Amino acid sequence: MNIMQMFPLASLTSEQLMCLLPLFTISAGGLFSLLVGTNKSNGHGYAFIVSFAAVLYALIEGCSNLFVSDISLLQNTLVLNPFTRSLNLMIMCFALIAVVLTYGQDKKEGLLAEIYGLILFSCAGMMLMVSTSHLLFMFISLEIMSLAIYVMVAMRRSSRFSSEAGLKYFILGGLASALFLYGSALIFGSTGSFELSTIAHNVQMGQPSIIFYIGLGLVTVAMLFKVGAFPFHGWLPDVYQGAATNVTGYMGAGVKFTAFMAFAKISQHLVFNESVEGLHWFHSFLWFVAAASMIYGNVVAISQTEIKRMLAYSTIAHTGYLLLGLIVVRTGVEDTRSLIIYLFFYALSNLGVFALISLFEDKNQKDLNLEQMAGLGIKHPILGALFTIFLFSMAGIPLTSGFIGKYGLFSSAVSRGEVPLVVIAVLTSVVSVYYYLRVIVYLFMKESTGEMATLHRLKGPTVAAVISALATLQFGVFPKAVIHFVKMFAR
Amino acid sequence: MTNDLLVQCLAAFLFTVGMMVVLLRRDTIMVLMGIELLLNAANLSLVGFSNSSQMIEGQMQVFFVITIAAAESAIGLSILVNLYRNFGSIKTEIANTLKG
Repeated sequence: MNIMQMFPLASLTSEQLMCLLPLFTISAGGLFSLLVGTNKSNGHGYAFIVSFAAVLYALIEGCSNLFVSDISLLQNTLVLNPFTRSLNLMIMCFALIAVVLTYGQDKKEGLLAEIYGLILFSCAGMMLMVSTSHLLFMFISLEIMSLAIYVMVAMRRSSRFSSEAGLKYFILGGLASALFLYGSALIFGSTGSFELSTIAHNVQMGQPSIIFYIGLGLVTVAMLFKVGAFPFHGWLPDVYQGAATNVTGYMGAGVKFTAFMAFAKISQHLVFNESVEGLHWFHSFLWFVAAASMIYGNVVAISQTEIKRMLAYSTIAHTGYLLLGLIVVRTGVEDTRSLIIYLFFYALSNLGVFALISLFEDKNQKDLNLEQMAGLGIKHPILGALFTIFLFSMAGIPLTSGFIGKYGLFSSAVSRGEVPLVVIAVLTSVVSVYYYLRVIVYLFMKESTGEMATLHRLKGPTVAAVISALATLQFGVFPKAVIHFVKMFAR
Repeated sequence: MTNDLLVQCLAAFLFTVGMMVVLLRRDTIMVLMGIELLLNAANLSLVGFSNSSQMIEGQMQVFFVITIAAAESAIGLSILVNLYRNFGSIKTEIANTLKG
């Protein structure tokens, strides 16, 4: 294969340009907001306006050409069809909420104006990552996303916790990326391609060598690192606690969504390729990781007294539920429906709950203790009610969107015969109700003993929390719209 | 032993060494160098595979990986500077304020 075949130097057609426009807008908006962020008097404000406008414009642009014909660039390296475009839309929604959430919070925590640009850059990386099925392009977009996130985590520069969290995330994230790269190199060596469907085809043709299995194992471990499943979760609680709260919310939503969609793509092509011998080991491995994540996350979360750390452990449990959804993704994109719905609803309530926490935290505070939250719901009834909605949604209580997500995920797993794992999932989510409700008990039914957390009246986080709460309730009571939308594009 | 196999063995050896450095060393500069070594071991493996199978794809990708490794080390060093400002040292064991 020569170089002209690989990168045909033809220019893009106008149709292709239209489809890539959201991506261009996000990247250019990120650069431009870095530029205006240097303004001495009102850098934060300008950067906010530019990045907000860029994401909003990209979102409208993405909506308007959602169902135009499929586009594939660089020999199927970057595929833009209704499915990937809709995933991009969801990611842009998270980025939009994250930009709003950062406004106000940035000055309180002493974050630089560059944070808006970084949110947009990581959003571009996420959009590329869900649109590709080329292993090395996936690596590059994973790095575009992660490098921006490392900086965002370490951005509270005067806080010890933040720099420690940045260091831990950087070292373990770098290790995971290197594992991914070496794994894809080994897969390339044994099958002669980076393209997932070609790899799957070549694997079916001839019996794969041991190098293929080693490579696949390394890639799987790297993805489990990125999603934060049980044996590879070490970084997750520390990073959630040390990062500024708005960054935590964005990470929990965007990175998790992206990593899971990429992981589902890899696993459905390579791991659950039923015509290949020896891959049932990977199935059992993922089965145990899912069960262990659910049990470990929920049991450890019970004993936590700080809310961000508790939510971090509950995230590990949610990763377990999502791995259960991932195991049943076998052929085509239809199977990913329940996974996408769960991730979308989870991400929304995640953004909302961290927006509320950021309202009550002081500058450079490590975490919000449960004792400090006692009686807050009585003092601020509306914020208390919002808190309750998000926690109910995460626990999966009806009339909130979390219930719909969990119901869809578990029922699709049961219909594929994963009954034992679903039993574990249901039992552990009963456990999870205990620690979610305990926060609500502290908010409304405990008298304040020590000092109570003070409310910082910040516009951005309040707006973000209200939007997320409205979405959580709306999709919880009338879930039909989202389910219908997902059914329309995931086919 | 053929040349191709030799290259792959060297890559695997370098990857193992890099992994040991990342996991065992207590000095963050060394950890950073370990991550670079991991990425370069993967590069070597890619070049070796694309040489043995006569496909240019793998060699092309190495350029992208080198660029990313440079960006990653820049970010790593800036995180180290920030760590030194807050803790007064860059040993990994001093960064242990987050527990639970």
